[in-house]
Amino acid sequence: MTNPQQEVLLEVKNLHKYYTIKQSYLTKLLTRHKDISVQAVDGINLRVGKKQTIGLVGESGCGKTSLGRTIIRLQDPTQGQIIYDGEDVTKLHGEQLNQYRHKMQMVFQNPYASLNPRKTVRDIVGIPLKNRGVKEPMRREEIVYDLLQKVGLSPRHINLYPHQFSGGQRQRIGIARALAMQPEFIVADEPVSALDVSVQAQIINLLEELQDEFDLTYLFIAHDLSVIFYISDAVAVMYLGKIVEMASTRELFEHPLHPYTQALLSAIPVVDREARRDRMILSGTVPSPINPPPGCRFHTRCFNKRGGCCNEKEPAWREVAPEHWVACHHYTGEAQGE
Amino acid sequence: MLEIENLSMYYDTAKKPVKAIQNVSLKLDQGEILGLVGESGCGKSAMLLTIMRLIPYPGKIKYGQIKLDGENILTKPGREMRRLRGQKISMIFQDPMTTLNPVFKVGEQVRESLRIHEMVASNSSIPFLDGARKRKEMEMVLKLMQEVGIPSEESRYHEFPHQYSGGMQQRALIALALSCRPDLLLADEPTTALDVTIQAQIMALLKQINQERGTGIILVTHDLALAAEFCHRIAVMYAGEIVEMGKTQDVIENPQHPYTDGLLHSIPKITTQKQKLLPIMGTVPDLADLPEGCSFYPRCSQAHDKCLCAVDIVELLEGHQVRCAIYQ
Repeated sequence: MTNPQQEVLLEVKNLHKYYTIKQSYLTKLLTRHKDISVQAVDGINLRVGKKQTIGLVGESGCGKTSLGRTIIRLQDPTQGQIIYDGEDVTKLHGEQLNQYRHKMQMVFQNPYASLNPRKTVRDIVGIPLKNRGVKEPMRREEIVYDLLQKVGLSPRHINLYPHQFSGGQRQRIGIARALAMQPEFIVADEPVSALDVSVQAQIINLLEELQDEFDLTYLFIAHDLSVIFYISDAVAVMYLGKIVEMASTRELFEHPLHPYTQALLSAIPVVDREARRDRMILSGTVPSPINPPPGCRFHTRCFNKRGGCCNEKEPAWREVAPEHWVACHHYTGEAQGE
Repeated sequence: MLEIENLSMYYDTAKKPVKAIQNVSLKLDQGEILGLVGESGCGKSAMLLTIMRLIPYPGKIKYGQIKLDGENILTKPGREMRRLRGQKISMIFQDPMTTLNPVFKVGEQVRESLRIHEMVASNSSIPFLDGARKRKEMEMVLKLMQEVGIPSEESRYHEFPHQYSGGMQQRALIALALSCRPDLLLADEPTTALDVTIQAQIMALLKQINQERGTGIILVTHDLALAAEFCHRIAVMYAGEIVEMGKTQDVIENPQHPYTDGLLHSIPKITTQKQKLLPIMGTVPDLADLPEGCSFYPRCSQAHDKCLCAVDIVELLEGHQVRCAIYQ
C-alpha cells in the first residue's frame, strides 16, 4: 500500500505458508488419508512503503502471526516471494540471511513469555549487540544504557531480571531488544494486547516516537481496530489466510467495501454515542483453515452472498478505487445481475 | 434488588493484608445492567466472587453487608448459600475453555445444575432412577441451548467441550448460568477471550436475556467502550475502591474523576479529527502497599496536598458519585 512515488521497502508476492499435519503410517495405510495441510497464509500480496505503518487486522486464527513470522523468515514460506529493498530474500541462507535479519526485528505478543527469565536486562539487550558486532563490553554497556533510556526505562534497571518488571516495562525491554539491531523494519505482533488500557497507550506513543526517531517501518499486527486506526497509515484486513481488503486507514474506516470489513467495523464497541455504527452481527464462526470453504472464504458468514458465484469462484484481488484493494465478487462485476 | 454496603475484603497474607476491596457500596435494581470497569488487579473479579461468597483462601470479608432482596447473604449458612448460587445469583466466568469440565458432555453439565437445584420434582420412590424426570430435564436443557443460540442442540448436547468453539462454549456457560432462572447474573469478562465478531454475538445475547427475562447483570470488563454501549450504569474501580459511579452517559461524557478521564484519553478513538493519546503515567499500585490517602494520588495529573487525607465518595449530581479530593 504505497503512493506510486513512495519507495517500496518490502513487497510480498503470492506468499503461501502451509503447515503439514502428518498422519501416521498406519493411518495412511488403513484409511488412505493423506497428510493434511493447514493453509495459514494463502496467496498474499502486500507492499509496504518506507517509514510507513501497515496495520494487519483479523480474528484469531486468520494467519496474521504466521504472515509476520514468514516475512522475517522465522519460517520458510511454502510458495511465493518476499522482496526486501529490491532483493529477493525468500531463498537466503546462512550469513546472508543473518544480514537480512539485522534489518528486520520482531516485537512479540506476550511480554511474559518472550523474555528469557534467567537473563538480566543487560544480557537480553546486550546479546543482540554482540551479534551485531559490537565487540567491546564497555561500548555495549553504553549502548544498552542508551537504549533503555530511549524506551523509557532507567539505567538502574540494567541488572534486573524480567520477573521484576510489570507487563508494560517488559514490553519496553522487548522493544529495546529489537532496536539493538538498528533495524529498518519491525514486525510488531500484537504488542499491546496483553497490556492494560493506560499502559497500552504509553507503549503506542513510545512506538510512534521511535518511528520518528529511527525512521522505522512497522507491520503492526493487532485485533483491536481502534489501536490499528490510531497507529496505521494503511490497513490490511485478513480473513482465513487471505487479505480481503486493503486501503489507507482513513479510506478503509470511512468506506469499507468488503462485507467482512463492514461487519468487523460495526462490531467494535465505541465510547462516543455519535460514532456508533449500526451493528451487523455475523452468524457462526471462522471456518477451519484445514478445510476452507470453496470460492470466497467468507461466503459461509456473509450477509451479502449470491449463489452461483460466491460459493464457487474465488474472488479476484482488484483495485476498485485508487489504492483501495478488495477481494469480493460484488466489486468485480461478477455478482451483478443475479 | 442487590445492595452492597461498605464492603471490604482483604486477603490476609503473612506480611500485610492485600486490600482487594475497600469500602464499596453499590445498588442494583431489578433488570438493571451495571458495568464494573477497571484495569487488571483493581478488584473487579474479587468483587463478583465476594457477592457469590466464593472468595478463595486467605480472603476474608472484613466489614460490610451484601443484601439480596433485603436479606444479608453474608450471614447465611453454607447450605442455604449453595441454594442461592444458581437460583438467585449465577456467574459466567472469563475463560470458557477452562470453566467447563472437559470430561463431561456439555448437555450433562447443564443438566447437572437442574438436578442439584431440583428444578424438576420426582414422583418416583427411587429419585435417581427416575427416567421420566431425566427426560424432562433433558428437554429443559435442549430448550435452554436453543435459547442461547446453540445450533443443532440435539447433537450438541452429547458433545464434549473441546468440540465446541470458544463462542459456543461461552453460550453453553450462559445456558448453564441461566438454567435455574436467576435474578442476577454476574458476568466476569465474558468476552475477553473471544474475537470481536463473536463478542458482538455474545453481548447481543446477554442484552436479549436482560430484556426478555428482566435479569439484572453486573458486567465486569476492562473495555470501557464495551461497558459504554451495553450498561445502564457504570462503576469505575481503582485499587479496590469505586472511584466514580453513575449513569453511563454521565460517566462517559462528563467524567469527574481524573482516573476515568485518563482512561477515556488512553483509548484510541475512531474519528476524523487528529488525536494524541494521553496515557496515565505509572502503573497500578500494589494492593498490599497502597499509598496514603487517595490511592490514585501518585499517578494523578491534578494531585495536590488534600489528596493525602482520606477521601470519601460524594454525590455530585443525582446518582453520580465521585471519590476525589477536588470535590470534598
